Amino acid sequence: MTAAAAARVTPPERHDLLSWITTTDNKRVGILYMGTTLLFMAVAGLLAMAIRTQLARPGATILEPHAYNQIFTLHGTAMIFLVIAPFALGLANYLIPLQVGAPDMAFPRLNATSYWMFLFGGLIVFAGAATNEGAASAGWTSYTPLSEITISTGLGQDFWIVGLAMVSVASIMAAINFVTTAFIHRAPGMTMWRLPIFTWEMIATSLLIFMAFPSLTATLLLLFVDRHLGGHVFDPAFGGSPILYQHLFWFFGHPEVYVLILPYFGVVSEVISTFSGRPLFGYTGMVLAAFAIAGLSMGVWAHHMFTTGAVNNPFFAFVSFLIAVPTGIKFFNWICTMWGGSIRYTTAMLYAVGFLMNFLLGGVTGVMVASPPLDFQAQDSYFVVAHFHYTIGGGSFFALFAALYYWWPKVYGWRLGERLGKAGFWLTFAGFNVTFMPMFFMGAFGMPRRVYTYAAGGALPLLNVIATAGAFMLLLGGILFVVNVVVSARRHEPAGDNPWHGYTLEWATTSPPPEHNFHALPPIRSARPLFDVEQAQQAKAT
Amino acid sequence: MKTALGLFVSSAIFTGTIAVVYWFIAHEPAGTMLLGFMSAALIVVALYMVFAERDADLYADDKDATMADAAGEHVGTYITHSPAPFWIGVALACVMLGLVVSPAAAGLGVVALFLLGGLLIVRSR
Repeated sequence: MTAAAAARVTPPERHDLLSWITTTDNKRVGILYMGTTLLFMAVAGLLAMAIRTQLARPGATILEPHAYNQIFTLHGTAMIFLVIAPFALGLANYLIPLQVGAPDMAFPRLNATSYWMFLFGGLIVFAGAATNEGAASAGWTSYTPLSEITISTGLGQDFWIVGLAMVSVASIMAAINFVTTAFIHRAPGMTMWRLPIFTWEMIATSLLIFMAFPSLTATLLLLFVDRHLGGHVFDPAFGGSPILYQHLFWFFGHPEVYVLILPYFGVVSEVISTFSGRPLFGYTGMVLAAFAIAGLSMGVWAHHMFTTGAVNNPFFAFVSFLIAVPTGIKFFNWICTMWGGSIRYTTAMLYAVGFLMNFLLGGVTGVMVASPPLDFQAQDSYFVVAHFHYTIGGGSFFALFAALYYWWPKVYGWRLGERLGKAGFWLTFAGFNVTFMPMFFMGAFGMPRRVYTYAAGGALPLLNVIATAGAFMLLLGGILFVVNVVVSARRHEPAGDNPWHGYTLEWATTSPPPEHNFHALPPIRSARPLFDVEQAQQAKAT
Repeated sequence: MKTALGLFVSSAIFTGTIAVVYWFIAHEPAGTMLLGFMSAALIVVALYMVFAERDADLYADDKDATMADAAGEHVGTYITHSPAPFWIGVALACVMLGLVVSPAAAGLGVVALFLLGGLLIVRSR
């Protein structure tokens, strides 16, 4: 169907509030998902600023201990459950149908339902702060007995449980949609081995969600039963076991780390390939590595429990070390993709390179804490805080911004400013490293995590004040992004359909795409259909 | 579909193998059960896909298929708007909050869910 014919038969899109509330269009649901996660990110970021302000100097009394506990619990919960993972779900909502050449998701209503469940679940978690004893304060892991009714007596913990149960089910529903769409709704010629790498990474992520999230939902329900229905499942006084809670939680919790990172591996692969002007090096290896990571990640949960003495440390250490192999393959492939390419250092590419540098540090320190003798030293110290922030913050967070700058023109039809974008990147990159690098040393000097103050002597006061200064740089970087959005929206510089010279199908449609995604599709004969079209046109011209 | 089926089958075999190895190394029941159930769940999906594949008519798996091959009278129906997802979200939020603060709110949520389900069934006829 030509564009003119499509325009004749397609009714004009509605943009009123009701149309957004009732939408089942994959792109709008994606935008709702991503917009909501960015708002949650702003709140969780401000909570982090409160934490860093309190810790800027020893003995500070800006926050009282209970408030501090609530704030770090909400910060961790929001960043993990309501920001990094669901942003990827939103991006996948937008991109998977476009990348596979489908007009929509396989189950549009289920898709929209997953968004509303995610939104209400997230709001319920935050609403806990308005209850008598405030929000949940047992940390994002909510270990028992800390989260049991005997210690966490307030409603905030219950809000946390039921809110996250909704978010968990919403994630499973979204994953069902992604896998079904990628398997069943591909355009003619789009074989599985021609799928763009982002879609492949989302299939691996969805498999992980299927396998891991039911464990989270079950754990939350059991905790609720313990708190209100006299379950005693995790209560050792009645034959229950807090170690069982840790098994169930981490059976979800460690794969969750890969749910947080695999989609962003896909983002970085797309960005690096486009801005290096080369196809992704080792496409098949990248796909297999994603599934190797996903599979192995299901067998490492108890490396979070080394110090309990209740698990088989050598088994979990060995499998944890193994994950470094497929991750290493991905790193080499990204470097080989850039090697000899015509690299364009756009803002998106800078964020992707920043991701590589930060994530490498996160990964290497991950191998360190996968070793039980080292983990016994680092457990519950700021070393671990630095490690997972380099992985999730320096990794996923940077790739999230790479995705924003890369696909923004496709979503809105206009670009984000490059000058402000690059300034924001350097501020964020510097701020991130100034914030989290000192934390490795804090951990080495014995500072435990989740403490609201510390002793005045030694190196800790200086390291903490440096980290707090870095956090304010990060905040400034975030503000610069908002300024860039406002300035660029006013400038409204049209981007065109394919501003970055990308080769995957989403760049074959208009910016923004029509309601049914495509007016026409090019023939699909490889993983890079637009490259094939370009080559054919060049051959015809000569 | 063969690649997709292979993903689930290989994941099931992998997790099943890990479950057995883990049991003999660690003798720990919680992890073994979790891995075992995971493997079983993956087999269920794989079995469904074996049957679903018989009815599937996927031009996508044909390397040389063109858009014209997939053309025909039935191109599928894609709804762009529905009030149901939002109200299902509201009703579920009522149910979950009701569990915590008010049984009345939970009951209201359950009733709303039943009404929505009934409405969807009536409309689909």
